[in-house]
Amino acid sequence: MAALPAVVTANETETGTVVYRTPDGRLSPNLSEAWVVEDAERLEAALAELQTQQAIVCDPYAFPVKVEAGVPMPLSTRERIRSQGPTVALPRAS
Amino acid sequence: MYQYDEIDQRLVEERAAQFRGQVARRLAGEITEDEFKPLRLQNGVYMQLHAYMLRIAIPYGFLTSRRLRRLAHIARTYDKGYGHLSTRQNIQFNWIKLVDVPDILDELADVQMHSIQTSGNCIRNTTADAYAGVARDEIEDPRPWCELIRQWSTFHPEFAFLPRKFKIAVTGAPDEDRAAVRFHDIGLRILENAEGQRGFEVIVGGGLGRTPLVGEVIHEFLPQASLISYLEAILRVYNLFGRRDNKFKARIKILVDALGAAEFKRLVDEEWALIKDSAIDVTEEELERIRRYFIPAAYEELPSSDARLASFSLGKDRAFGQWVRNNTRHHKVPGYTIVTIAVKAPGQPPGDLTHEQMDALADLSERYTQGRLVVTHAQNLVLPDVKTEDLPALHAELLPLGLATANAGKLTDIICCPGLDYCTLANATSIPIAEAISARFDDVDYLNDIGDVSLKMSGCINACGHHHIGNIGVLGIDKRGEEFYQLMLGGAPGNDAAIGKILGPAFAKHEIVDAVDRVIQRYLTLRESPDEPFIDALRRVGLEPFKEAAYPDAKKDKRPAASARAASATTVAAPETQGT
Amino acid sequence: MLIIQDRAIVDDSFTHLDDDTPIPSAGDVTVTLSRLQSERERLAQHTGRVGVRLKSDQLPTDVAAELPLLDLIMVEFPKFTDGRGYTTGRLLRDRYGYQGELRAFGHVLRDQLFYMARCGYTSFVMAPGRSLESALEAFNDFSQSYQAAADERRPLFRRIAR
Ligand code: SF4
Repeated sequence: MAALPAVVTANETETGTVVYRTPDGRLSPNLSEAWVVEDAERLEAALAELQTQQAIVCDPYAFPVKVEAGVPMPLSTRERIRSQGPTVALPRAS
Repeated sequence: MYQYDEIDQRLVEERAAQFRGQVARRLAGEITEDEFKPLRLQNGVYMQLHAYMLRIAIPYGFLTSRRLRRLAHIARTYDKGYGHLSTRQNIQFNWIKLVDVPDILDELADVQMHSIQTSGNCIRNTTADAYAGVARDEIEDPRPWCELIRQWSTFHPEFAFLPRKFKIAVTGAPDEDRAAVRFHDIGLRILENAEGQRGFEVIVGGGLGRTPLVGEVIHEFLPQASLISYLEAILRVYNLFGRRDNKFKARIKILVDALGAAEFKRLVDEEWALIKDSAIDVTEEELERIRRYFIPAAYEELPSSDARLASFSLGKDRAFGQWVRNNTRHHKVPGYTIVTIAVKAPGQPPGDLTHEQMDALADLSERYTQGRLVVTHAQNLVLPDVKTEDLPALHAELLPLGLATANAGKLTDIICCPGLDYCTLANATSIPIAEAISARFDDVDYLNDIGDVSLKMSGCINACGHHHIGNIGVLGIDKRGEEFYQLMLGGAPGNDAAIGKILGPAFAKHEIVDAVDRVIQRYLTLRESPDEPFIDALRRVGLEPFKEAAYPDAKKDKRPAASARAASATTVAAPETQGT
Repeated sequence: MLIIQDRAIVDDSFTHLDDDTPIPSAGDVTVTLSRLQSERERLAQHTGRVGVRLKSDQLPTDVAAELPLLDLIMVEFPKFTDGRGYTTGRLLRDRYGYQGELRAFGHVLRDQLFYMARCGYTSFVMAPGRSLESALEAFNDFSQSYQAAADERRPLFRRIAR
C-alpha cells in the first residue's frame, strides 16, 4: 500500500486514458481533481471498489502525493510524467 | 516483397476478427485484465504510461510505399500523428484506444499487415539485415528464409505460450553482421562451405536485458533444407525445459547458460534426430515460391557509380557531400546506391516519424526507389534502390522534411528506447538525454571527426535500447526516486560482438551529457590517428583512461561517486527542461 | 460436470480420484501418475475406463510405458500462460502414437482451444465460470494453418498448391 496521503489511479479499459478517483467517486483525467486519501482504511476500500470494476478500469493502484496549494503532487517522477504527459515535445511536422 | 495469397490474407483477417471478439469480451467483463493481457500482447497491444501502445509488425523491416501510407493514416486517424520505429524493425503507436484496435487491424489487413505476435511470450517478428537483397557483401538474400520463418511461427500452436518471448534474426552477409544475430534467442548466419553449399550457422541464447549474454554456436553448418525442423527442435526443448518460475530467468539464454551450450546442443540434436527429414521441412517448390517474391525488381543497366559517389561526397555542396559520405552505401547493382534516412534530427525523439513525413517518404520511395523502404534496427529507414545520379535530387527533397540529417553511424545516430516518457517499466527518461546529446554534438564536421561510434540508451534494465552493445551505452536507473545514468563502454553488436563494461558510479541527469562529452574528448586525444575508430582505440587502451576522463575528480579526493557528482562544472540545462 | 469433447458439450463420465480415495469396483476413473505407477496391476484389472492426470511438468516419457492401459490422458494447465502442455500433447500424439482421449484441464480458456486442438487435445474442462457454448466457437477462429501439428501432419505447402 502506498504511503499516505495517496491518490487512487488506473487507466480506462476502453481508451487507456489515465484517470484518478475523485472525492465524489468519479474518475477524472485531471490529477487536480483527485481525491487525496489520508487514511489507510479508506484507501484500501477505494482500491477494492475499483478492483471490482475491471471492465471500466485496468489494474488500479495508489501512489503517494504531497499537497501543494491544495493540489496533489506526485512524489515520483513516473507519476508526475504520467499525469502531465511526456517531458519531450511530441514530434510535429517540420 | 512477399505478397499475400488468399490464405495469408484470410488468416490476418480472421486474426483481426478474433481480436475484435476478445476486445468485446474484455469490455463486457467476461475476461479479466489478467486473462486479457496475454491475448492483447499477442496482438502487440501494451498498456503504457499514458495510454495503450500498439506495435505493428514490419516483417524483417521491409515496407512498401502503400503500407507506409497506411501507417501514416493510422497515425493521423487513431493516434497523435506520429509513430516510433523500434529496434526490432517494427513501428509502434503510443496513443491508441483499445476500442479502435480492431478497426486498425482491419485497416492493416487491407494492406497485408498485422500486429500478430509483436509481443507476448511467443515467437516474435523475425528481423534481418536492413541491407538484405542489396548489400554487396551478401552471399544470399535472407528474406525468403525470414518469410518462411514468419509463416512457420505464425500461430504455431505449440509455441504460443513459451516461458518468455523469443526473437530470431537472420543475416546473409557473413563478413558484417548488421542484424546482431549473436544477441538473439536464435541467430542465423547464412554461410557457404568449400563445396559451394549454403548452410546456417545457428547461434542460440544471446540476449540483452538483465543478463546480457553473447549467443553460443550450436550448429556450425546446418543444411538449409533442415532449418524448420531444427528450429522446431530448439523451441521444443526450450518450451519443456525453460524456467517458468521466475520471469527474469525464463529466456532461453538462461537455459543455455545453465545447461552449458554442449548439453543444450545435445538435447536439441536428440530431438532433432526424431523430426528431421520429416514433412515439416520446407520443400524446394515452396522455397522457390517464396523466393520469387524477392527477385530484384527492374534495375536499369548502368555503369558503376562508385567514382560518382566518391565525387559527390567531396563536392562543393558540403551538406550534400557529408550526407552522401555518411548516409549512403555501395549497392550490389552498378549505378545504384543504398541510402539511409537518419530518423535522428536534432530535437526529435530518435526513430519518431510524423504522419506527414511518412506520407512524404512513401512518395519519395515511389519516385526514387521503386516504392521500397526498410526499417533498420538502428531506428532509421533505408531506401534500398536509389539511382546514384538521383542522389542530389533526393537529398534536396529530404531537406525540407527534416530527414536529411547526415549522421548515420555517427555519435548522434542514437538508438534510444521510449524510456520514462512513455514506458511503465522505465526507471528514467531516455529521450531527453538523447536530445541533449544531439544538441551538444550538432555539428557534422565534428561528428565526422569523431567518426563511427554507436551510442545506445535504455530507460531500464530491460535494454530495449540495446545499451549493452553500444560502443557507448547509457542505462537509466532509479536512485531514491532520482533519475541516474550508468555509462558503459565497449559494446558491439556485430561479428566482433561484445558487451559493454560499466565505467563507474552512475551520473545524475544533469551530468550524463558532460560525462559522454569527456569520454569523447579523451578518445580524440588518445587515438593513434583519425582513422582509428572509437571502439578500436578503446580496445587498444582499455577502460582506464576513459574512466579517468569520466570521473576527473575521482583520484584527488578518493570519493568517486560523490566527487563525480560534484564534478560537472560545465553543466547544460537539465535536459527535462527541453521538452514540453 | 459438463466438458467439451469432440466439439460438443457432454457430461464427464470419469471420476477423478485423489491418491487416498479407494478405487471403486467399476466406473471410469482417473488417477495421478504416481498412483498409476504404484497401482498399475490393480488398474489394469479395472472394469471401467482408466485415465491419468499429468501435471504440467510431467513429461510424455514419464507416461509412455503406460499408454496401452489408458483411455484418457488429462494434462493440467495450471495457468493458461504455462504452455508446456502443448508440447506434451504433440509428443503423445506424434511420437508415442497415443490415440485415446486427450483432455486439457485447469486454467483452460476459450482462446487456447484452437491451439490445444491442433496439439492433439480432444476434450477440455473449461476454467470455472466459463461459457462452454461460446468456447465452442473458438475452434473455428482460423480456417487454415501454416504448420504441421498433431491434427495435420503436413504443413500448408504440402497440403495445397500455393
Ligand atoms: S528499456 Fe525499459 S524503459 Fe526502455 S522501453 Fe524497454 S522496458 Fe521501457
